[in-house]
Amino acid sequence: MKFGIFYEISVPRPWHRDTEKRVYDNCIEQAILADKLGFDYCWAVEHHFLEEYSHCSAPEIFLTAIAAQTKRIRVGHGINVCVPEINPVIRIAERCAVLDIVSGGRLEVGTGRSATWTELGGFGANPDTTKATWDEYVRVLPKMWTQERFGYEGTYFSMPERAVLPKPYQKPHPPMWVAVTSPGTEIDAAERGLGALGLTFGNFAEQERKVKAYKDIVRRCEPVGEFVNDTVAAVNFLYCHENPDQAKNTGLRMIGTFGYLASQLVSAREVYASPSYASFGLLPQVRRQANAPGTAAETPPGMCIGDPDQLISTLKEWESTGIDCVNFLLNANETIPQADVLASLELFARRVMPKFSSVEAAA
Amino acid sequence: MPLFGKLDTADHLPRSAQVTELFTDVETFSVDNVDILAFTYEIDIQQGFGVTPKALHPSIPSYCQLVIRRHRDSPLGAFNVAELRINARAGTHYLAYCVGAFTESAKACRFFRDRYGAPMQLADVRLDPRYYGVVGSVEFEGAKILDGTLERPHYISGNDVLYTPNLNLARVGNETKLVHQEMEYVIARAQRGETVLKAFDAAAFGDARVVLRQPLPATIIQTKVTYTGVHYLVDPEKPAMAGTETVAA
Repeated sequence: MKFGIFYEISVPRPWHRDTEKRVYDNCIEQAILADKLGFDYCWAVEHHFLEEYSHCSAPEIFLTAIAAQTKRIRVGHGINVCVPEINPVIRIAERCAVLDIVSGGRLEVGTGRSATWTELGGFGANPDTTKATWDEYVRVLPKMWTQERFGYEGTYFSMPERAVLPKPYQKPHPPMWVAVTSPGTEIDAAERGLGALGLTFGNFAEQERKVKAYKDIVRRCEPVGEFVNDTVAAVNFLYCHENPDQAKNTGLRMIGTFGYLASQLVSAREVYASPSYASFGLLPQVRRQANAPGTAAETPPGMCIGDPDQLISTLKEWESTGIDCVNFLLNANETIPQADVLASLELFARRVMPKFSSVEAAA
Repeated sequence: MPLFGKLDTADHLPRSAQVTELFTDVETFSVDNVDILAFTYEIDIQQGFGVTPKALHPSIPSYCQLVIRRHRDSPLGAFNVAELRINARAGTHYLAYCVGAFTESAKACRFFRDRYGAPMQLADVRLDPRYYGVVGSVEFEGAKILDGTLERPHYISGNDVLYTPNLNLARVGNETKLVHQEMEYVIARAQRGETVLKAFDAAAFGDARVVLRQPLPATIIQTKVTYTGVHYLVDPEKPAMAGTETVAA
C-alpha cells in the first residue's frame, strides 16, 4: 500500500491579499515534509471558479514549485480537464512533458472531464460531450509524447502533422490515470489501461466490488498508452493524533467543512439534464443529506481520522479491498492550524506507515 | 464560510401566505400524469444575493427555475401551477426559495397558501404541448408575465432530471418562517430541449431583481407526483444550520 497527499487548495473567506499566498505556502510546506517522510505521491486537482472549495486552477505551476523543492515524491497532475474549451489537448501534452522534465521524471498524469456546471458553464463547454472528448484526449496524448511528429483527424480534435515538444523525461511516457467519480468510470479506466484515481468515498464493500471489476478487466485491456497502469487509488481524509477524541473532533470539523463547501457548487447533474452526468461528482458521500438542515450528517465509514492504532486498523481494511494507494486530504478551508497538520503527517509517518508493506519493503 | 443571501424579508412579506395548518405525511396527495415544464437560467449573481433569504447560501453560480406543473386531475380537481424558484442551499441541502407562484384554481391557491405557505396568486397558467415543443405561459392581471417554449425536444432518461424542494416565506402562527415543500416523483417520460423565452416579468413574479442571464436546457417530464408533508421550518434570518426546526410530519 502506498500513500499520497491530495490538494484541492481551499481558501477561506475573506480573501485578503495574503490569504491565498498563505494557503499555497502551507500546502507547499506540507508537501516538502511529506517528501521527507516517505509519502509516495503529491496530487493537485485542476478546478476553476470553485469559490473557497478549490483555488487550484493551475496545478502544473503548483506542482512545479513542489517538484523543485523535493527529491523523491511523485507529482500528480490530478486531473487535467480533457475538455477542449478548458484545455486544448496539445497544451496538456506540452505542459505535462515540461513538468515531467523539471521534476526529473516524477510526473503522474491524471485525466478527467469536470463534474460541475460552475466550471463547464464558465468555459462554455457542452456537458453532453465531455466523456467523448476525454476518450479522444487519452488516446492521442501518448502518441503526442512518443511519436516524433503527430497529426490527427478526429471527432473533437484535429491537427496537421507537427512535433509536439518537448517529450516527457519518463520513457515511453508518464503513467496515466483517470478520475473516478461517476459510476462505471472505473470500467472505462480498466478498458483503457489507465490507473483509477478514486475521488469518492465509497464504503468498503462498494470499493472491493469496484476494485475487483477493475482488476478483472484491466488484465485483458487494450491500453491507450504504451503500457498499462493497473493501480487503484482511493481518496480519504487524514488527521492523526495520539488523543483519539481530539483526532475525531478535529477530523470531523475538516470533513464537515469540506462537504459544506462542496455542496455550494452547482454540479452538472443539477442543472443540465444529461446522461453524461449520472452522479453529483465531487465526493458525494460527504454530501449525504440529513433529514433537515442543521441535523448533523453522519461521517462516512472508513475515514482516516483517529489515533495511530485506529488508522492502522482502518487502512488495513482499505488494503483488504484491493486498493493500491490512499491519497489524503490534509485540511479544508484551513480549519486545522498548519502546525497541527504537520504534526499529524509526522505522527502518521512514524506510527502508521511502517505497518504497510511497500513502506516496510522500502525500509 | 460560503456567502449568505441578503433578502430583506419585508420585501416579500406582503404577498406571503398565512399558514393555517401545515400539511402532514398522514394526509395523502398523489397525482398521476403530471406534466412538469422547467426553464432554468443563470441569473445576475449580485442581484441573486438580494433575492435569496439570509438563511440560505446562494448556489455558485446563482440560478433560477421557472416551473409549470399541469395536473390533469387531482383531489383538488384539474389545476396548473407556475413558480419562480431561486435555487440555493440550506446548509448542505439543495433547495429553492419560491419567489412567486400562480395557479388558475381558487381551490389549489387556497390549499398551497394554507398548507404549505406558498406565495400563490390567481392567474391564468397554461401548459400546452405543440408539434414543435411545449409552451408554458402565465397571464396575470391582463398581462403575459411568462411565455416560454421548450423547442426541439428529445428523449432522455427520467434519472437525468433532478428537482429540489421549495422553501416558501410565510407566516406560521405569529412567526415568519421558510416552509419546506417537497414532492416525490415517479417519472414515466422525460425530454430535454432548448429554451425560447418570449416574455418574463420578474416584478410580476415577485421581485424585479431576478435578472435572467444564461439559459440552460429546458425539461419536460410526465410523472406521478406525491406532495409530502412539511418536515421542517427555517428561520429566514438565521443560517439554516442553526435556525431549522423539525416539525412532526
